[in-house]
Amino acid sequence: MSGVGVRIIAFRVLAVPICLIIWELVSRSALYNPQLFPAPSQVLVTLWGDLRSGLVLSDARASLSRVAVGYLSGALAGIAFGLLTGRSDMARATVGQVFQLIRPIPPISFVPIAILWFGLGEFAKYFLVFFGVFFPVWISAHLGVNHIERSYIWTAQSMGASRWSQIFNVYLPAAAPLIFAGLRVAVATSFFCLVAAEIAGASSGLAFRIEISHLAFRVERMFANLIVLGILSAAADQGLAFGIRKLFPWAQERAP
Amino acid sequence: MGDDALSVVNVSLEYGAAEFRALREVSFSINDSEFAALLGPSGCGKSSLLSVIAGFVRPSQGLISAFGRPIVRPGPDRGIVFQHHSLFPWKSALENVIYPLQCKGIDRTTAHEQAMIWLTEVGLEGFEHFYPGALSGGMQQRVALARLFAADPKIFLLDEPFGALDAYTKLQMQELLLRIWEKHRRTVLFVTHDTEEALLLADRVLIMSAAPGTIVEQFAVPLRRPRSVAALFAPEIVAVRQHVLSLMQQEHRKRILFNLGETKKLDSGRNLRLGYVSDIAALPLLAASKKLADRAVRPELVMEPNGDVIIEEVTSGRLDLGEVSLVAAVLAAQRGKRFRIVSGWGALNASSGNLMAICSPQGSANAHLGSLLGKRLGLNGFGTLSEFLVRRAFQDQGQMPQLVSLRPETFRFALEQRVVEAVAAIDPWLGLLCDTSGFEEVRSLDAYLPPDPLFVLVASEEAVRSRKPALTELLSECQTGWARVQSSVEVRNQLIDEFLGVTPPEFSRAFTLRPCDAVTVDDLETLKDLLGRVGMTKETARLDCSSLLHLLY
Repeated sequence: MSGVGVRIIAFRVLAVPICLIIWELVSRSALYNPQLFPAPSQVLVTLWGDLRSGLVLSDARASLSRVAVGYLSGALAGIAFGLLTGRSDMARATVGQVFQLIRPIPPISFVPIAILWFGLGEFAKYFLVFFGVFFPVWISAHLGVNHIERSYIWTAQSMGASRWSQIFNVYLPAAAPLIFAGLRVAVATSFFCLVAAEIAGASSGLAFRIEISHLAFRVERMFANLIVLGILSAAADQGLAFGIRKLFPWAQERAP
Repeated sequence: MGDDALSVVNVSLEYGAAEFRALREVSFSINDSEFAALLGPSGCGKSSLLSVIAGFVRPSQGLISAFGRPIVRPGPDRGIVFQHHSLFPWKSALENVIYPLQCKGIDRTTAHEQAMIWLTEVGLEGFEHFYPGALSGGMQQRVALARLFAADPKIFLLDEPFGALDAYTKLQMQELLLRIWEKHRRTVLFVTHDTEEALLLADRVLIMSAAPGTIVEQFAVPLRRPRSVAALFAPEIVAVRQHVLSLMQQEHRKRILFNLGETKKLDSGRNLRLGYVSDIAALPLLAASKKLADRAVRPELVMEPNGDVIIEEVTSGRLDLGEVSLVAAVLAAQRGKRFRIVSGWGALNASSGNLMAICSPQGSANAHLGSLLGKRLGLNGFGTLSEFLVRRAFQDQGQMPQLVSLRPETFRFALEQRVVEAVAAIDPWLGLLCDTSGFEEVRSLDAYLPPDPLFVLVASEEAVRSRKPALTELLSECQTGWARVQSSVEVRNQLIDEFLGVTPPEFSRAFTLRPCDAVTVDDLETLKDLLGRVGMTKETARLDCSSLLHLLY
């Protein structure tokens, strides 16, 4: 291995610890109010305590179930409507047009309305995550279906494939690379929406805990939950990418 | 008519509010278990016709029926294979073959068995779990054939299925299709623009005219089955082949002129129509035209391997400028053609390898030209620089081998099939033969090159007068063209690939193209004299050109 290669690996391994050490030193040097800027060691101690007490686990469970329900329903609906508007001119002219009007509105701005309509219960959270996931998935599925190579559809038609068979064997797999891209974008937006929804009003969840800790001035707990949130979001994204690679090997070169 | 497998009556197809007519009153029928080839120049509407028959496109008028039932939409009675994207990339080879069987309601176990039988038949046993992306183009089309035969529709529609394959793979695929078809005899409509392919495969050939396409002629192929590629060289096919070639050439030229006419209408005279023969000496011109394309002058390029045709088009005003060998120009002038030589250049190898050589299978002991006497020698047309060099080389022998006119793309094939004993090839084909195909140069012809210029640009008096600014611009770009072609192997190979349709091998032949601005009367007289000495006259050149394939038999 070349010297440059070794050096790069060394940097990769050391980058995070060095950051943590600098953080620790800055925090301990009391250049800035340590109350507002806790050292990583404090954060980790808090995180460990919350893990042992089960607080993190129950919050994570609440948050993840919201993301899961919202994401799955949003993704399924997005794909279904994408197929519809991508295939039918009629649907594109009607439903598609309405969607195009709503799509640019940032989903977070629906938080007050969601609370007004659905109250502070779980459904409002599902709704917001759904809302954030639906549009990116819909537009990518729509484009994917729209750009299918004509000969694939012709080939299936001249085999006498039924409508459903065409959907599952041609339209969906042909549009898959774009749909996958939309699904991955939606992972990030689903977490945005979750955070917005939980901050606006909830009684559990990781973002709720951050908000509550803010009121209680427990900055190290805020950091602890931020870390958990970051890890979960990254894990969801990488998990999805891994799943796509394993389940759809033919889309490998094209899936990001 | 009810007995026909496929009947097409009076079908026309128009696109975009009748602005473009793709098909004009096409009528023909195909019998049950007949292999029919639909042959026509590119862009003549063959594929449109196939789409109409498949039911993907509704005709503007006319009626199509399969086994007596009118066709209105796609259906499993007509299976199709396209040139590109014929397989589903998200299904493995096996799944691709199984899919149409499942659509027919066949249970999975049986479908699996049948699919494996057909994949084995096309020689892909062991590749069944590969995705199309991991298969070569030829293998993908094998899967597509397996799928078609497994699905077993009543009518097989093949849309240039081998059109995107390299020459050798194409040949293998044709033999494969021949073998399978002769065993199973299905009704096939095979679309192609390749005359040989049509004659080799089909029972009957339908020839389509340039757009708007219509059937101009149809005939039965007089070849017995089982056939092999060698059948193309059987004596009974010569006349047919010649006839088809001339018909196709005619249609092809019509298309070129049609296209040129279109541009002329659109453009106010800043476009240039250029013709070139398919040899390496055209590169400066091609480099120049590529440069010009960025500016207001729009060059329209036409490749035509026959120099005489180029001169004909130049003198009749359909081309502004043509690139031909000086040999062809002198012979045409002797026949009374009137044109101006506006520039010229010579080509010569600087270092490794020859520009032109006689090339033979390795170890064939043809180093002595005498051993080729009485045998067949392939070359790129008559009345050409190649013919001149060959004649000079054999002058001392007092005798000539049988000369056979072949398109350079078919050199390798002709050598492999032993149709010819050797070929006289020019770069880049020489390089391809020697560096990648296991043939060797047995005799360099460079020593016999006449003095420069070897290649000239010819234009009609009329074009020189009326197109002066554009021509001047082009000629000055040719100067830089030389420099560019010689500056880097990459530029040269890119131009060869783009315009001559050959991917040059990784060979390092360096050659120089020397500009030669003034072509003097002396040059012409010298060459005329040399041509006379080797017995090349306006008559021999013309005679041979009109009977391309006669010398084969």
